[in-house]
Amino acid sequence: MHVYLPIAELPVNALLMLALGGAVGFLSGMFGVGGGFLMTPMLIFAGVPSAVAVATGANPLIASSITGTIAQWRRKNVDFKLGLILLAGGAAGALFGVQIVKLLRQAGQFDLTVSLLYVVFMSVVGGLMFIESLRALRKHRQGKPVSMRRPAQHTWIHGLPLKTRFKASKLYISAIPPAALGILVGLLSGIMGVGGGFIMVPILIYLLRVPTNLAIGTSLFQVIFVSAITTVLQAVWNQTVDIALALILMVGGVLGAQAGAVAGQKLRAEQLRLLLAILVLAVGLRLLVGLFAPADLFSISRV
Amino acid sequence: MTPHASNRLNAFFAGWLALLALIAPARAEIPDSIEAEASQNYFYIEPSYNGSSIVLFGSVDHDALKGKAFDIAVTIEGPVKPVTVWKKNRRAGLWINTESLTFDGVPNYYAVLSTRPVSEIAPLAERKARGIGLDALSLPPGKDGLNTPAAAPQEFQSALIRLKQSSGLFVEQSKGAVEFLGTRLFRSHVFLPAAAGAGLYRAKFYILENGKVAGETGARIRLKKIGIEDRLSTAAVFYPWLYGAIAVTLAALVGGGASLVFRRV
Repeated sequence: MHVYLPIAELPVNALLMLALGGAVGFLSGMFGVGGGFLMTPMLIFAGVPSAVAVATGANPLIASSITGTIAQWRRKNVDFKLGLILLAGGAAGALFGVQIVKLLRQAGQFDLTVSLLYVVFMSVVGGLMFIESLRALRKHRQGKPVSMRRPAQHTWIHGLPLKTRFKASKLYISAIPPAALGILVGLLSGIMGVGGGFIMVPILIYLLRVPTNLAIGTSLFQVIFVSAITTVLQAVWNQTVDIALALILMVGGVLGAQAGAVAGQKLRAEQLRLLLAILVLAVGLRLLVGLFAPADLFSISRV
Repeated sequence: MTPHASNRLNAFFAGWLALLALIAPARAEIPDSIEAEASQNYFYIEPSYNGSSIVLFGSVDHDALKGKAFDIAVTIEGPVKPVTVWKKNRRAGLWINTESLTFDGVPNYYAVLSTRPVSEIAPLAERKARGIGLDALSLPPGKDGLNTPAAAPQEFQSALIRLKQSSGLFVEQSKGAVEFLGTRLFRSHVFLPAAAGAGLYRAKFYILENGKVAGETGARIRLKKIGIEDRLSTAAVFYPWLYGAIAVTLAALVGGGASLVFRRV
């Protein structure tokens, strides 16, 4: 079943896109990350022009992160104060990110930049997750309790000014690191078309010592707004958001997210994290090959 | 006869005279030996659109040809847009776009269909004048296109044609491409891939004898987005804020709706 995409100006297999949205939603339901970091490269592999894939990638994330946030909020896993600070930084970052996309496209370096960013972040995040999940599996085998939260330590982060109390997260830290993290994630969201959960969650957990549940819930909360801002900005400045494609992806996404949430409760978290890590590394590797051994030296783009 | 009717009659004759005046010089140059049209001049892009099947047909005048052997060539091209061709070079181990050339007018789709391979029908010089064949296409480079003039423009043009060919947007076909139904009537069938995109397509029909163009005619085909496809792409360009707001609202409804439906989870 083919559907002609009005903005991408090509037909796509609707069932394939539904399945892609569903698979990404499944992962997001299971791990609490938006899944945009898999969505955009998969769309590009499926033949969607990269400008459309990036601009459209953020749109279905709004739907899946709203569903996710509501579920997490019911379990009191959202720190709204922390979320708003992340969000303020995220809005500023997204504003820059979308502008950078326009400049990069004019310079012909957009595809390269997106690939490079993906390769860097996917290998770092995939690698860390791989090591962490292996460790957790080993601990589990030894019969020790598995906890993602590390003991509180005094780091440079605690020396920064503008200290604020985050009641829900049981933290008393400076507002600067969350704002900076928000800017970074917003920037990536604009350039890569991702919600940024896969970067934000580990940083919240490992660097800011936010409890895992709250890190996931709060990240999802701010992803709603950052991806909404990114979508509007992409629509206004780049005019490459394809609503038809986004709709198919988000329908698949919310269905997949429900299945993922159910599966996530039944299956072993460490094993699933290991699988996700392998998947992330594989996609990163595929993009890396393109950087060092391109299929064709020439490429064409519409002006 | 009423004055009104005679005015109309006068206008009618004046119109015919003007039309004859237009046709007459052309007639003197090339004999009117070919007539052709597309079976359908309008095609529409709807959500289920997956390419169009275009049938072109025409007839040859054997009296004008005086019984000589001839060939038919049909070209279809459109919509014409500027295109940038990038070339990657190795920089610090990575392959990076470093050179580019912008061509001002490149048809997104181009097909040449002929009774025999174009190179056998007429010499390159004759075909270049009319753009009959992939090797005869003239794609003028833009004025400020070249970033790094290390490679010759020909290299970029042949890369462009090669990439277009591999994506099925540039087609050259001779085997069974133009079929004769009897001695005068011919028919040509071409499948326009969905990626060719909306816009104006021009079909040109040539009759060639002895390596020279002996007659030509043309037809126009328009591919239009209609309904939701048209509304969405128009909104994306002319009302981008509204379009962005719709995209966000839609996602919010889907997300919120799913939360209500799957409340138990």
